[in-house]
Order: sequence, then structure tokens, then C-alpha cells
Amino acid sequence: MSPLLRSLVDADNQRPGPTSEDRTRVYATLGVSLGLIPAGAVVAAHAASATAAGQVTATAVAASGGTSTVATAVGAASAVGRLALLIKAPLMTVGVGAVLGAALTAYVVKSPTARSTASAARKAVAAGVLATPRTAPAALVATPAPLAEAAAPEERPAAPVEHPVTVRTTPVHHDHASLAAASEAPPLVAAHTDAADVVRAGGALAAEQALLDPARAELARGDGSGALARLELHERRFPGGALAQEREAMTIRALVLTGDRDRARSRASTFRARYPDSLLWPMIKATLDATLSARP
Amino acid sequence: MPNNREEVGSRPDAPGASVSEGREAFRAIYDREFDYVWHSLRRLGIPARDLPDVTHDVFLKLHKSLPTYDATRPFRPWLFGVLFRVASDHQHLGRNAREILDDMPIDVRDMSAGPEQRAGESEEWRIVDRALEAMDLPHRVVLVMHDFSGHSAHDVARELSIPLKTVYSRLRTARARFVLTAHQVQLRGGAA
Repeated sequence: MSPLLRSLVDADNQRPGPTSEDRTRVYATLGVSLGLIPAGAVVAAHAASATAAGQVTATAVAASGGTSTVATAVGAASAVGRLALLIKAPLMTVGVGAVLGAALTAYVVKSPTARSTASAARKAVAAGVLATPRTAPAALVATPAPLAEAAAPEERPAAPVEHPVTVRTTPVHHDHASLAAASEAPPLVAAHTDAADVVRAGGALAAEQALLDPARAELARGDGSGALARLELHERRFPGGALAQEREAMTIRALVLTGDRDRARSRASTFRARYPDSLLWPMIKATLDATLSARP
Repeated sequence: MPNNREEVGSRPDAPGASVSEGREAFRAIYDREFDYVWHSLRRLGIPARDLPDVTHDVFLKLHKSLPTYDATRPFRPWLFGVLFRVASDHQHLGRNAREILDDMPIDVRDMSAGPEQRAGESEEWRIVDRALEAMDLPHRVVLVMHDFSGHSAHDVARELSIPLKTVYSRLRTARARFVLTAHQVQLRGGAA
């Protein structure tokens, strides 16, 4: 390989990768496409990308199982590009003093009958309807769930009601599909949860993600010690954070990379004891099995 | 090599796992390979605006193809084969769209570049893009898979179903073209 090619390859490897929002959105869409995110359950709402103004974009993957929690319209999104047509609601003022905007994007699996095979999900219509709050505060739909929940969706009932708020939905878009879908959507929406909670939780989650994403990239590059430094920072700031399990799994991988097998092993034992049913355990076990002669 | 190294524990769990274990395993693969798929697709020429869509399609395809994965083979080259087939389909379908775009004003076309790629885009990244764009897909894929992703020529040959000697000859040609274009772009100040 010529030196020029080598240096350009090296430079290309330093390029920024996908954002955590890309990662989460694609997974959510994939969940619908694969039928992992079932209709009939409010599955997850992912809050991300807190901006300087404190804006939180919440992407809610929600569905109504008969009793409606549905915020807006409608439709299982399939390819992510189609998500782009989902409307990001303009800023809704929720804060005191400062403007805390919460742009809510909700896409909802239409009906239990759409309970979905992958093909049904793919064919389902993605559409957006702008939820306009009738009064100033709180026009949020689904409780934001930690990423881990979006990751491993399970059927579950609608989010608990804290402050039901009725919002009026105003069909807006833009897309040939959305009008048809909007016409099927329930006109009124009961929204549950307190906006401030959503913003707070979303902000914390985004902050956690912001710490873990670079660590994940460092792991991918084989930089175990770089990743460890970040992961320790996450541990100090969010010891019991929503992404604590992911942090632990990554820490074990980082320890393996740095050759610290003993700590990797003991950390894995602690993990197993603390989270006996963790979805991440198979990955941790695989990491250990691949590098250690004996299991923890 | 960044973005590329095959990590420990990178093979999916053995088949026969329960549904939930399968889901966990898939999630683990998704987490681990997302960046790799994304960067590989970008290097194969998928425009930034289409990366989420095509990445989605790759994992969808991967989900369907996992049962056929032979665990004695290294995972990433196999994954590259999967993503290459998805990318080829996409590029085949996208060709007409690009021809239409060619008739559009520059500022319209430029919208295809993602903001993250235009904002802190380094000169080297621009050169890489131009040099890869100057290549046809059969050469490009070999160069990307071998030199950028660091897979062996044997893995390239097997996963792309081409003879080993074809891999080597394409690699030679692709490297020469890449370097030639890179020099040209450098001489023109990256404006090529």
C-alpha cells in the first residue's frame, strides 16, 4: 500500500460516524420492520439531542392497544428516510423562565390488526400529524424510556398516567400517505406524563449517550484504555443511570482489550449478580469466552 | 485500524437460542456493528442522506441471513458481503436519480451532503471521497474491503464470490487509480 493511500485510509478512519440519534432511530425503525416492536404497546420513547436551548427531540415509538394513548397519527415507519417526513413539532414552551422546547415526534403503530410481521410493518404508512397543545404546558405523549428499552422492546401497557393532558391534533403533512393515515387517526389524544419529567429524563439520557458513544467508538478502534477513561467518567456521573448496564458491558470489553482479565472477570461476576436477567449478558459472556480460557 | 477491527466476541451466538436470546444477540450485533456498517456503506458510495435507510436495510437483511451464517468464518467479512449486496441494489436503483440530479443546479445537488460531512470535513476526507468516486464498483469494493476494512484477500474473494487472482488484480488497479485521482485532487486543491 502506498504511503499516500495509507495516510488517506488512516484519515478516513478518523471520520465521525453516525450519531447516537441515527443509531437509535434506525433501531426503532428496524424494530417495527422486524415486528419486534409490537402494535398494542407503548414501547419506548427516546429522547435525544438536547440542544443548547434545552430542546429535546423525543421520538416516541408508541402504539395503542385499544385504549388510546395515541398522541398523534399513525403508521409504522419502515425505512428511516420516511421518518424524515414525521413532523417535528415546533417548540412548545414548557419551562419556567427559560424556553424549554420539546419537539415531539411520535409515530404510532396504527392498530392491533397491524400487529406486525416485517412486511406489514414495511408496508405500513408512515405519517405525521402535528400535535398542537391547546394550552401552554405539557403536550407530551409517551414516557421516555431508556434506550435499553427501545433496544429490547417488549409488549407493555400504556405508560402510567400522571397528568393527562388533551391535545388537539392538527393534520399537517406533506406526504401522500399522511393524509390518508391522518384521517384514520383519532382526533383527540390523551397525553400522559409531565413535560418537565420528559425533558429532564431526555436530557439525562442524551448526556449519558454523549459519554458512551465516544467510548463505543474507542472500543471499536481497539482503544481499551481510552474507552475506560470515558466509562469511568460515566460511572461517576451516572452510577445508576439508565445506561448503566451498557456501561458495564462496555467496561468489561474495555478491560479485556487492555489485557486486564482479572478485573474483567470480577466485573462480569458483579454484573451477573446485579443484573441476573440482563439482555446484555450473552454479549458479555461471549466477550469473556472469546478471550478467557475459563468462564467467570 | 479504527472502525475496522474485528472485536472479540464478535460472532453471534450459536443458533438454537431462544427467541429472546436471539433478540439479545441481534441487539448485540447491532450495537457492535452499526458503525462498521455505516462507514462501509459510506465508502461504497451511499450518499449521507441515504445512510440511515440503507443501514436499516442491511440489518434487516442481516436478520434474515443470520441463520445461514457459518460460524467458522470470520463475521465481519461475511457482514461486508451482506452489506455490499444491499448497497449494490441501492446504487443500481439510485443511478437514475443521480442522472436526474446532474441536471439540477449545484446548490440543489449539494443538499445531498450531510451537514456533518460538510461542517468539519477535512481535506483528506474530501480526497478519499473523490478518489473512491472515480472508481467503478467492482474495483471500489475490493479496495474498500481490503485496504479500508482490513480484510484479507481470501476473505474478500470468498465473500464477494470472485477468484483470488481477480481480487489481487482488481486491488492493484484500484490502488493505482485511487492514488492517481488523489494526486490529481491534491493538485487541484480538492476541487475535483
